[in-house]
Amino acid sequence: MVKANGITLFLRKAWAFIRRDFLIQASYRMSFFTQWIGLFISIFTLYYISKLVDARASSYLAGYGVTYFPFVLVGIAATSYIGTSMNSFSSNVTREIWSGTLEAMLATPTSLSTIIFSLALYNFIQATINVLLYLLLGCLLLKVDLSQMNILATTVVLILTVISFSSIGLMAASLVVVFKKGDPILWAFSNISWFLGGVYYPITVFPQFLQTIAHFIPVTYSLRALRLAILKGYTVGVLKQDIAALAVFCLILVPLSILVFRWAIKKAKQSGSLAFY
Amino acid sequence: MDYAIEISGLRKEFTPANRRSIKDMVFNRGNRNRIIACNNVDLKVRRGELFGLVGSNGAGKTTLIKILATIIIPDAGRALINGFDVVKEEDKVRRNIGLVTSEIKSFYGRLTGRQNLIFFAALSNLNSSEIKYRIAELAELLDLNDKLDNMFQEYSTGMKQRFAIARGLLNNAPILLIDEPTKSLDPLSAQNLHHLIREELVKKANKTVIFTSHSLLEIEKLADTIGIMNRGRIEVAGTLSQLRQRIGDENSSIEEVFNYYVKRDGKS
Repeated sequence: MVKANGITLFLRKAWAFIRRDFLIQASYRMSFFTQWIGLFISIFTLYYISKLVDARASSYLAGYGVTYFPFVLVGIAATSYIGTSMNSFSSNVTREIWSGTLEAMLATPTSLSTIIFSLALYNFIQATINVLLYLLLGCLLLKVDLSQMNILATTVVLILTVISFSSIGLMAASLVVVFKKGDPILWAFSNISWFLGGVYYPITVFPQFLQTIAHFIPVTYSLRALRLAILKGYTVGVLKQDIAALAVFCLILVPLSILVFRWAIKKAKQSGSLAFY
Repeated sequence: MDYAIEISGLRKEFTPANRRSIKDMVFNRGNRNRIIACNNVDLKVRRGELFGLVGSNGAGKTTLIKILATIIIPDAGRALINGFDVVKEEDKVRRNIGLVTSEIKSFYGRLTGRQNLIFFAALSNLNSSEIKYRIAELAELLDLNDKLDNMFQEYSTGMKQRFAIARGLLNNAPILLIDEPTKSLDPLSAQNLHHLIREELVKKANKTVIFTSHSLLEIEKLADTIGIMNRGRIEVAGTLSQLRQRIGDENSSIEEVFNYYVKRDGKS
């Protein structure tokens, strides 16, 4: 066997996961294509809803300098990444435990952290395609102006968003490994995030106490910064407060999620339940 | 003496899932309800030896295999695979083992047999040309060529078991842990597998094999050394003639030997 270094081995394994997930998804030909049709329909649905609310929404959207459709389009595109970051780790671990394949993977010289990270890769690729399609369709067919987008600021915010929400996702996956259920926490966090974070509306529509609570969840900063970077071309410097807030979430959540994950693996290996659901 | 597997004082207790509370899971409590799966197991398997572990359901055979495969952490004791500790050096251990389980569902039904093997081979650190070569080799060895590109979910149980064996052999590891390999096989397929294990893997490739079975006849036919496991303990290990000598009846059948060791405490 030819020896390869750690990075080469990791990339090979990551590619094996991506290829496997693509082949499985492509084997369901109908749903492979209908998901894109669904995306197309959802954009047009939002477009026509925005026609209804534009006049009333304009005062709340003054800070973004756009109408409702571009505002909600970026919100929906961003949630594609946020949802993937939060849900894909635990849902994929659950699926692998269910099918009995996790145990087979664990007997190979591949660490559990590589397995869990790689399990989510295809979901992130899909989310990226979704985001690009959302923006492309909005731009080309529905005349959303993305000409001012600041690529660097968008990338920085997106990376911090993915890291902070992936940490939450990893904690949920850890709970699945130990308790075989991680979804109550994810369910609660997702719903609070979608309600308070401002996917469909700016948080300024809330009464003051809800706006205060909204500042304790990372999605508020992610969505605001992404919208301003994409729609108004704000730079990293201008967005430094939101970026700093996301960085603080990362600093707290990343080490915490790694600790929880290590604890979970040890517990599951001790109880012998790593491969059971 | 050169040993491939060395186990000393290995102990593992479990609390059954239906008796485990959240507090038990978090704080590792629940001693009252614990089941001893491995009870101070001591075992040495020589390099190139074919070791058969036989025991009733729940005797602890699968737990022992999973500890050796680094999937379960023991509570106490030590197990070395080619000199590597299963707890402290799990990555090195995994490079030295191939695991074959009787869990034939542990594949992706929507992928072909070949695609499944390619995926698991990549996880076993093989590069693309090695994967191609190894799969061709194993397909020939296990007679998989005709159906390699069919969807996995379309295979018969026997065919799935052969793929499980192929997966365990992908990394060409020196030590094979095989858990009830003939559980789902018809008699002819079981005979072919016996031939494969003894002639190809042990005699030709000089691999060390530890395999578990319910079948006393299978163990008698295949194993160089037999271990009888009962209530988490390896009651005795040795060649069949050594086991016969120990019970003082050199003409006894393997059933009589087995019954002697598992029933002598009057509890089984």
